[in-house]
Formats: sequence, structure tokens, C-alpha cells
Amino acid sequence: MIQEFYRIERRKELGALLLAILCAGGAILYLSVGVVPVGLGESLRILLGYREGIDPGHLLAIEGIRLPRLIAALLVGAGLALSGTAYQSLFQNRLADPFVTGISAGAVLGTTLAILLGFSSGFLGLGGITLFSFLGAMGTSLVVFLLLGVLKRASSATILLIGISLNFFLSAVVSLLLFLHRNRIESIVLWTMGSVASATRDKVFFALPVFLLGAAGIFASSRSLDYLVLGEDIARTHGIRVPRVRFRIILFASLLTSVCVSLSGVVGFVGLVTPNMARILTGTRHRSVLVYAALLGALFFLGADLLAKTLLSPSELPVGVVTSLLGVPVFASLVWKSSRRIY
Amino acid sequence: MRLLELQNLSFAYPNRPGVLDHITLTVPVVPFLSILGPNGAGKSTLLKILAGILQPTGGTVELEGVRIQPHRDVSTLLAYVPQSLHLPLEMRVIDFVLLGRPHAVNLTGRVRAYDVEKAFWALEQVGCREFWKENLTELSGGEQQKLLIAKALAQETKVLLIDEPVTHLDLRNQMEVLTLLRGLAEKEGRKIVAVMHDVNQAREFTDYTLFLRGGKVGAVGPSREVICRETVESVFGIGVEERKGLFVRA
Repeated sequence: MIQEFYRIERRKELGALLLAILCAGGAILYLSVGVVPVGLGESLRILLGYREGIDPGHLLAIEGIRLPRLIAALLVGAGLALSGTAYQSLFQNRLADPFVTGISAGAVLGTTLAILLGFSSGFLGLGGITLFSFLGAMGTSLVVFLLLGVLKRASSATILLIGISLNFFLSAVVSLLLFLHRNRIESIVLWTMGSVASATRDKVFFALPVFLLGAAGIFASSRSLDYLVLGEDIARTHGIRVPRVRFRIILFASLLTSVCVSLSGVVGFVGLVTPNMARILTGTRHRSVLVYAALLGALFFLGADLLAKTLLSPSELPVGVVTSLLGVPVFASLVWKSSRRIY
Repeated sequence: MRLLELQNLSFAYPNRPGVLDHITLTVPVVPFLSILGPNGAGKSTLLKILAGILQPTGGTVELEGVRIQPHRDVSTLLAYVPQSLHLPLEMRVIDFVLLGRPHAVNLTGRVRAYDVEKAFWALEQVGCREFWKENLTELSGGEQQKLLIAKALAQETKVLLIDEPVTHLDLRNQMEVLTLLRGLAEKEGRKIVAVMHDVNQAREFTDYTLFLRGGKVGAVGPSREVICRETVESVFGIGVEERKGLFVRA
């Protein structure tokens, strides 16, 4: 039995390796596809730093445009999946997603303000929209933290209710602003559909350290998440200081979600579906679930963005539309499968 | 050394005062202690205070000579088995029991062989070794209860705190679980504290009994002596009589 246990463990490790290889393959394909097609081998050579005999036009397309976009796609996919996994376990709710604390509405409000107030130039090479959406998302998290500080004994259900209320409130503010400035609705609505087409080096350089910090924080909490899934009482008897750990997890998940939203706008379903897929594939130990979720999220987003780029080429679909169109059937089959298991 | 020492212990919820009302008592070291009493008497609350989950509003608690304080890690002293548990869909039996081994997963994410052996040993003790690959949610209530105990066993603590271990089980499973607990208390030397409902089972399986009523101690002593007609009648407020060693309605 013990040998079989380890055989299954090894199979799970190989599965993660396979996902990583698929991600790498997908990344090369992603770099090759576009208005200027580049060969797969050439893309790989550019990625590995070879410069001899490379068409300068191809080099520019890949290094200047596609590589930042690729990194943004990977970060957003992995980031939303990690944050979704953390929230689902923390709230013991498989339908929780990265936007559960009202973050998306905060980001949309930030973007709306940036567009309406004309802050397009921004700061540190970042566009005003990137900056304002990040600040809007983090501002919303700050409100959640302040409320948590006031309500010291808040249960997870209370936090969910706070998030839902904030979401409605901020969405109403956005609707009011849109109503008052109907002539500028289009750019705001387009942003909410999600896209990584405008990713630049500067944006990626800003996002990467925030992403790494958030991801490291979530991975470091994996043992706590293992117990929190079973409820706060059990977690407490295993020496986990629940309010403090919960605060930490929400903080890191908020950082991840905020940075993703600032890169891509609000992209639905990745953060909801991929954690669930990861659990089906690897079980409940968060060290593995998080690895699987991050890889599946990155792969899923990469695939969706590839479709968004190519389906109506040369024009593009918002990637958020594709993730939902792809995500809904996957999720529906998942729900069907798990409901059969319950009843 | 005493199993339990409560000094002036009180607990109140914001809108419900006197859930536990200035309880002072000591329980000697016994293998199996049951806590009995009507619904709302404060049994589960007391167990949660012993487990360090709830913080008393007044007084002190010592379990096996260790002071239970908020934020103190008690996972090496006691294992707590709740009445029911939210179980994730994909949780395998072995992964659940491995949660009783806090350092089972090392830095690289691999599970240590020693801990896997311990988890299988715990499954063996409750007679569920062959289910190790199954999903926990697909097993029967009796099996789930045994697996909750297996996780607590894998934790290798001196004390097991169990909230209503047999309430939702059929008669056969009730007997199996209680016999299992009795065996663990006798052979493994674990100290078991269980909230129970059935006075007859408490008298048959446990060594010592604490009756709670309205947040106060109704009676406490060796089960064979303290579980008698007078105590049962006064604690539960019903008339009973004893026939062939069992309490039945009068």
C-alpha cells in the first residue's frame, strides 16, 4: 500500500512536469503566432538569446510586443488561479473566485476614474489605467481589512458578505459614473472585458515583483490552507492562529488579484475553474494543488489569449470573452460530475 | 497529576450569559471520561475550551497538567474530533489522516515515509486500512467517524477530545466506535474525553463521568457510581427506572 501511495505521488509529480512542458510549448507557439508569423525554431532561438541570422522585424515583434504579452498572460493566468485557490480554501467555498472580496469592482472604479479624469500618462512608465486599476483593487482590499479590524470576531461568512456588498456598492458607483459620462462608455466597457494586448515591458517589470511576493505568500500558507479547508476549529487545534493567518492569506491573494487586474482587466472564470480542475487532478494537499492550479491557470490563459489573437485575425477578441466562453462548458461539466458524486 | 482541573471556569456568548457558570472541579487521571447532560448544558462548549478553540470568559483550565491558553499550540498535547466536519470532495482517506501528521510534507512538497507509515498504522487501528484511496465523502457515516478518530490517532497525542462520537451512527457502528475508543484508552494509554448522550453507554464504556446542567456541574465521579437513577432524574428532569442494569423511561 505504501508503495502504491508513492506510485500515485510520483504520477502527480509527472503530471505537474507535463503541465510545465505544455506551458513551455504553448509559450513558443504563442510567440510564433501573430500578424507577422515567426517560425517555432526561430522563436525558440530568440527566446534563448540567439541573435545571429534573425530577421530584425521578427526580433522586434517578439521582444518588443509578444514577449511582454506572453509574460503578462502567464502571470495573469497563474496569479488568478493561485488567488482563486486560496480564497476557495479559506472560505470553504468552491465557487469563490479571486474577485470575491470586491476587488474587481474596485479595479473597474479605478480605471473608470483614470479614463474620466484623463490620467492616461501615468507614472514610472505605467499607464494611468494600470496604476489606477491597481490602486482601486488594493483600496478595496484596504476597506475589507479595515472592516475586519473593526469586526474582530468576523467569521469567513462575514468576510464573504462584506466582499459581496462592496462589489455591489462599487459597481453602482461605476454605473453612476458611466451614466453621467455616457459618451466615454466604450473604452471603459472594453477594459472590463479583459485583454493583455497592451502589455509592455514596463508593465511586466512592475507586475513581476508584486506577483512573486503574492505567490510566495500563498505558497508559504499552503499548510495553513490544508487545515482551513476543514474549518477554523480544526485549524485552531493544529496551532494555526486563524485571524492572523486569514489576514495574511487575504493580503497576498489581494496583491495577486490586483496585479493581475492591472495587467489584463477583469478576466473571469480562470480563477474559478482552474483551482477546481487542479483539485480534481491532484487532491487536497495545497502544495500540489497550488502548483497544478498555477500551471493550469497559465496554460488556460495562454490558450484563451492565443484564440483571442487568432480567431478574428487581424482584429482581436477580448481575452475575457474567450476565457468565459471556454470556461463555462468546462465548469458546467465539472459541476455535473461533482453533483453526480454527491447525490 | 490530574486529567482535568477547572478553576472558576466561566464562558458566555455575547447574547447568552452563563453557558458555563463558575465551574471548579478536578478529575483524576482516568482512561475514559464522558461528559453528559441535556442539550444546551455547555458540554460541547466545555470541550471546545479544553481544545483551545474557545477562550473562557473567566477562570483557568488545565489538561494533563498543561494550562490551556489562547494562541497556545496544543497540537502535540491533544487531538480534537468535532461532531461534524466540512469535507472537501476530493479528499482521500489517506490525505485526511496525514493531516494528523503536521510535518508530513517536507520543503520540496514530498510526503515523508515515516509519516505515511504512521498514517497507515492509524488506519489499521480503526480497521479502515483498505479504504486508504477512497474519497472521504463517499464513505458511510460510521466509516467517516472512524476516520476522524484515525486522524486524531495519527496525531499521537496523549489526549483525545471527541464531541458526540456516536450520535449519528446506527447501533452496530455505535458499539464498534465505542469499543474502539475503549480499546485505545486501555491498550494505547490514550486519555479520552468524550461528550456523550446515552447514559447507558457512558456507564458501560467510560470510567468517569461529568454531568453538566445549565452551565454548572450536576454530578461528577466514577461512572459506575455517579450514573444512577437519582442523578439521571435530577440532571435530565425526567423519571427513569433501572431494569437489568439499563435506564429506561419510568
